[in-house]
Amino acid sequence: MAQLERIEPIREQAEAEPAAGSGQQTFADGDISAAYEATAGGLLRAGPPESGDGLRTEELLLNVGPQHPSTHGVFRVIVKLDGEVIREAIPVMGYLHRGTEKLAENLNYTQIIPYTDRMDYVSAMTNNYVLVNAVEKMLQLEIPERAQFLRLIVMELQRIASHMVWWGTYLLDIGAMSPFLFAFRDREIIINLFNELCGARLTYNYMRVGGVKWDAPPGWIDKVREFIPYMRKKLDEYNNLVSGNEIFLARIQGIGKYDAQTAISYGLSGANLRCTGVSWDLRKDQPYCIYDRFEFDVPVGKNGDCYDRYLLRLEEMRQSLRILEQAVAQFPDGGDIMGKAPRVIRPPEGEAYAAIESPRGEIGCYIISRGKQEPFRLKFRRPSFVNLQILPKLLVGETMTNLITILGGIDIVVGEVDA
Amino acid sequence: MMHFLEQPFGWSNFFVFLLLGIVMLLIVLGFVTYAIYFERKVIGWMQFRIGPNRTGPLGLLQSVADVTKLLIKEDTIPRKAERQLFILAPVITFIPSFAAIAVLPFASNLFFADLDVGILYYVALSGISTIGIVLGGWASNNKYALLGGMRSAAQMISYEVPLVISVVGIVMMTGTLNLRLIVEGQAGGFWHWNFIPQIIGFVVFVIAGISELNRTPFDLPEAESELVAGYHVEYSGFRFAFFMLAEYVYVFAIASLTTVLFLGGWQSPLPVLDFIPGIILVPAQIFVHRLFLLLAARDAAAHPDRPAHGSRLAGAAAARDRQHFRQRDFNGIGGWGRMKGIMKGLGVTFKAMTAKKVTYAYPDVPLEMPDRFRGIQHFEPDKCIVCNMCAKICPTECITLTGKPNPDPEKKGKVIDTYDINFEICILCDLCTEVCPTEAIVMTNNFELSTYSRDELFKDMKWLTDNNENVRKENNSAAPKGGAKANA
Repeated sequence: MAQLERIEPIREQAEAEPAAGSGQQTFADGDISAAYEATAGGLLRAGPPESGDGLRTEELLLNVGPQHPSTHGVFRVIVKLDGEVIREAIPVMGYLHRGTEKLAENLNYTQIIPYTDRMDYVSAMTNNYVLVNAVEKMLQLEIPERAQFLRLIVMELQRIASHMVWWGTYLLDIGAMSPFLFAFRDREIIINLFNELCGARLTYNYMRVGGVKWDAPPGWIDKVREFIPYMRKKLDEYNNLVSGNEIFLARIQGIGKYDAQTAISYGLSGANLRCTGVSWDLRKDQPYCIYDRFEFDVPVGKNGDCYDRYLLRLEEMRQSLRILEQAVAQFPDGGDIMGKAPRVIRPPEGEAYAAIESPRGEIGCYIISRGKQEPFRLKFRRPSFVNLQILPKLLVGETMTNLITILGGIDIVVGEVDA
Repeated sequence: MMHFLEQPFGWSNFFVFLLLGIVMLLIVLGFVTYAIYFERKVIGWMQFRIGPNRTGPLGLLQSVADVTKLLIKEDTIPRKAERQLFILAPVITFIPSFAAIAVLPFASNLFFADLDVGILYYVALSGISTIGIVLGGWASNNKYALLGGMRSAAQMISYEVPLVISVVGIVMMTGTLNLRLIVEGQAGGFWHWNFIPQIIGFVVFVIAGISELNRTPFDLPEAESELVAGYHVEYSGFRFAFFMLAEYVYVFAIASLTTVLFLGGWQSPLPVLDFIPGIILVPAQIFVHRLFLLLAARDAAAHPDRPAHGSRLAGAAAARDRQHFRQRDFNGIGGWGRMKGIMKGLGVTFKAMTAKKVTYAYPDVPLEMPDRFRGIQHFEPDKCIVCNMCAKICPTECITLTGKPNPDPEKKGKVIDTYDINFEICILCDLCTEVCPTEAIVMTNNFELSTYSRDELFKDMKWLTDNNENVRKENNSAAPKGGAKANA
């Protein structure tokens, strides 16, 4: 009920407001919560802009979300609109906060793995990896060759699957419906591969400290091998379907532009950073797992706009296929999938930080151990959360339509933003 | 039909008119019903789906079911909405849409009103519908609806003008505004049809017509990805149905109008085909045109759309931006030389229509999950040694168990007494089966857990024991059993 009360009729607000430009404009009570007022609320209290043609204009405070088709979950942006042009935008997050990091302090390391699945739920494998990698760093474990290959293969498949979800949903936001189904048809193949491998379609819980839980079932590697040329063909199809479409180009070229300096100072990573021309990919620059054995390129953009980010992600899928092709060819015939991990994982006292390149950027896991079964403190560097911070800056002066284009281009997963 | 108008008005004539009106209504409603069905089917085919196939044979009754659902749904009016206007808006949108089709001639002797200002009448009436949309958006007292309504107004200003001007050429050629006479002027084969001399007008008319219909790529007022549903976001039930109906009636009207103005109406394309009665030709043409609307314009299904600049129209800056938008739209984006990408995309879409469908017939055909699939657990009390490992490892603490002393006094240890899993919080992470030393708890491939009450999700030992189908064969995993000691 309180929610209903908040939405004052627009015209009532218009009547109550003094003429434009006279002093500060405050918005109806309860529009912004008190806590909000203290932090970012001040931003919203600037007066309406001078209108060039002498028209009296009013600003409109609009809550986009938390229930909104294009915010990809329960994410909310408060925008102040002048006509359709955004004057201010403040992202509000936390609707999906589950306290993963705090929960982890009472769980042993194996139990935390299922929780990492649920952070960035479209890329669970990389989340699994970053946690076990951090623990393995502390324990200084040797990972068997076969497990390393399996990890790499699933992570690269996951990267493709994750980018497909992004591709489909992004185009759905922009207004195209078919690409979504194209993407999900092909993603289904990867999901089925994962299902055969570890028995789940989304939250895999596949990796373990010291190795992986399941060995590849018979014929699984061959299926991955067959998938590579299929996917190459499909990528060309995706390009034909969308990438050259003039209406699409008009929609995203030059939108959400920023330069390398800005990207670095905001701490962006992944395609959001590389679109500005900075070549920074942890797989190349701080190799983990066995990425240093494979040949692949790190594509970079030059304009730093949504279109570059779009192209980069498509190209990353192609590079992932290249890695997969080599990994499948070199896949060891036998061997353990589990290293000599202790039964009870009790990392020595100390700290460790492991960072890897998730589809969304640098995902990191920082562990402080006091020698117990549970971590003393666990912190995830969540790329969606970090990348999102640039959103208010990008939105100022853009239209409502571009809000969706830009937000989609950043590629957030709300599960990861809020953890 | 005109002779009725000349006769004195009496009961018999009244009933004839009433009957004709009802027939017309049914034809249009039938068209709307199956236009929606058709659209959903074709879009389904573009996306490797089957489309509606549940209600009636081949899903033919799907739209009927949808309409029935809308009619019996609760009609809600937001408390702070402008009540009268909120109720009025769908009516204002709907009535002109039906009134406008009165002037459309269907055959040389089948038409309702033979107005000498037919085109003018159509344009004037169809403009009224926009008022309904703006009104609905305003009266809803919802910011999204308001934005949608404003966009609708801005879009009408932008496209109504080109729409009307594109017809002017035809009016000048034929020297009449009467739609029936315009068709008669196109007799003698398709080379006499207006779209050849008026090719530019034809293209402009089709593009502006799509915009009139608020269909993708011009669905700015609805813009479901940004404005949720635009002007009708607060509407439900039959009021929403009225908006929808009006939209589809306009699809019918614009398709018919294109046929009449540019594609020869009931005139056959070749003189040898003259024997085909016009009454068949017109619907056939409307159908073809409708297909075009669906594929090229509502290739919705295939294409990103909505020129960014379109949305800048709305709001206070409408007048200033309009020029800019129109120029971009026609010179920049729509130029034939730069349509290559769109055509390529259309090619992929067409190819997709014949591709293999991937729809699962799930409830009818059960899904086969691979052996390792983690479904609902199966529990075997006989194997359990009450070691408590599963309850300890469970990250969500959804397992509770108790043991009792072994009834056989000869044997040591405990046997299981109660064993419960709370599936409200179980995340099916597989850790319980991983740590179980005796495989007392194992996974099955069953995954259907839906119930009507949360309490039913609390499964006890008996239920878990009975859940013994599709038990996973391979349960041992690579988790360390023993191995090195903790190196702490």
